[in-house]
Amino acid sequence: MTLKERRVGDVTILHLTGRLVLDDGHDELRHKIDELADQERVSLIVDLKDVTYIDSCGVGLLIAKYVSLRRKRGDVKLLNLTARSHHLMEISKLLDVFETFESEDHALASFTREAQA
Amino acid sequence: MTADLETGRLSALRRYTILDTQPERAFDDLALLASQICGTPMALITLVDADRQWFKSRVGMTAHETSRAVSFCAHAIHQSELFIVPDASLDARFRDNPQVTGGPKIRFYAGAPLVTPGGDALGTLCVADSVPRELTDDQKHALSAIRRQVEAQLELQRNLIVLERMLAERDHAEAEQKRLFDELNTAHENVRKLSGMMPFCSTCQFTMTIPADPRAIPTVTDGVTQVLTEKGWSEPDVMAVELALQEAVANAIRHGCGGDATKQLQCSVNCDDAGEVVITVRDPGAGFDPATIPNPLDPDNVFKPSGRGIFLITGLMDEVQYADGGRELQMRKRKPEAS
Repeated sequence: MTLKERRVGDVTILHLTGRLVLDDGHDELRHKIDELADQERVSLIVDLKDVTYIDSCGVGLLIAKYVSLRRKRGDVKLLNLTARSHHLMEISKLLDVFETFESEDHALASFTREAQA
Repeated sequence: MTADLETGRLSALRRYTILDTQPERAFDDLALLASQICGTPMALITLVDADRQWFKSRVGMTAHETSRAVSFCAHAIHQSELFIVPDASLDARFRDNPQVTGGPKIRFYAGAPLVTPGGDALGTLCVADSVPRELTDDQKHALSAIRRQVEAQLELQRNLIVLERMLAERDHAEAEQKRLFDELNTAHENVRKLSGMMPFCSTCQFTMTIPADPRAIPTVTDGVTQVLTEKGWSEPDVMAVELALQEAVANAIRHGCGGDATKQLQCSVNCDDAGEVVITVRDPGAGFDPATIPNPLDPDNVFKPSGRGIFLITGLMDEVQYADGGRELQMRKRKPEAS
């Protein structure tokens, strides 16, 4: 898996490409989010458009980091879920947990609204 | 010349692939030399085809070819040495020849046959004039010497053609060798995957042992994915089986083998033509009681980072069973009927 980081204001957008499974991309993403959390960059959008494969380990990592960033008053939001990722999140009942978006602007706007609330 | 000899001669001529080719400096220089040494206004390098004579090189002639029926060279190729006609108007064989009675009004002709190493006379190096004359001995010797140079040039060209063909064959052989090598590599790679065995099993039943290393998981999942796709399973159903298998093997690696890549696990797949796939994953671990696995959908568990693998497998496959104290997982799925 490859990972690209972009910042828009206080929000960090992580664009992932490839597989997010046990032993592939898992550790890299965990380290990256931990590093961001240490810098108090806790508002995160994970763009999954180019993630070709995700398994329960990948899902488990996302939920673990969701929990840790929420504790720091941040959030993890998911952008551009593929049909495959959407199905996995759906049967894992995690679509009730994560906010998901098909537009980066909408995902960014949701952080702004929360800040203003 | 007998018909057989003529057939052989024409075959030899074809092998030189020189007929109707472009003029070449090497031949033109030799024709010019013959013309100047013999002091004649005309010199030709001719090749005698079945019903024409074609000029590879020509000095003092505008035609590219003439009919073999009016050809002096057609006579010259039957000679072993120089064929000389001092005055064609006095020679019964040629006096009515249109090349004698009309343009270019040939009177004098001297032709040296161009003979292959196999003994076939392909044509001539010849000189001609519109006035009767003779050649001196020196001119005859020089014409013979130039004839040998033309023959050498013909052999050189033919050898180049043969060499080019051999190089092309070598390139083709090397390309074929590379293609076979690539195919062999691909086959070798495929044999490492279950799909590589597909052509050899009508019902696709096979077992493979892989190291307890997450990097080995695609070795199994890619193969099963390909098998099911080949058997006409829909993409969502293939994805479901692939994910269930990924989860089963990942669990066997993490829990059954404790992440120890030196251990091994066994994976069996049976995919029949009736549309059912049965997959068994077996690990060497201590086993576990599936009933003790918490439900990841419980509110207390939904935020936990692990514990979803078995839940997913159960949701994605039609039937899931454990045996041997949890060391063996068997799961099956039937291909849904096409709607």
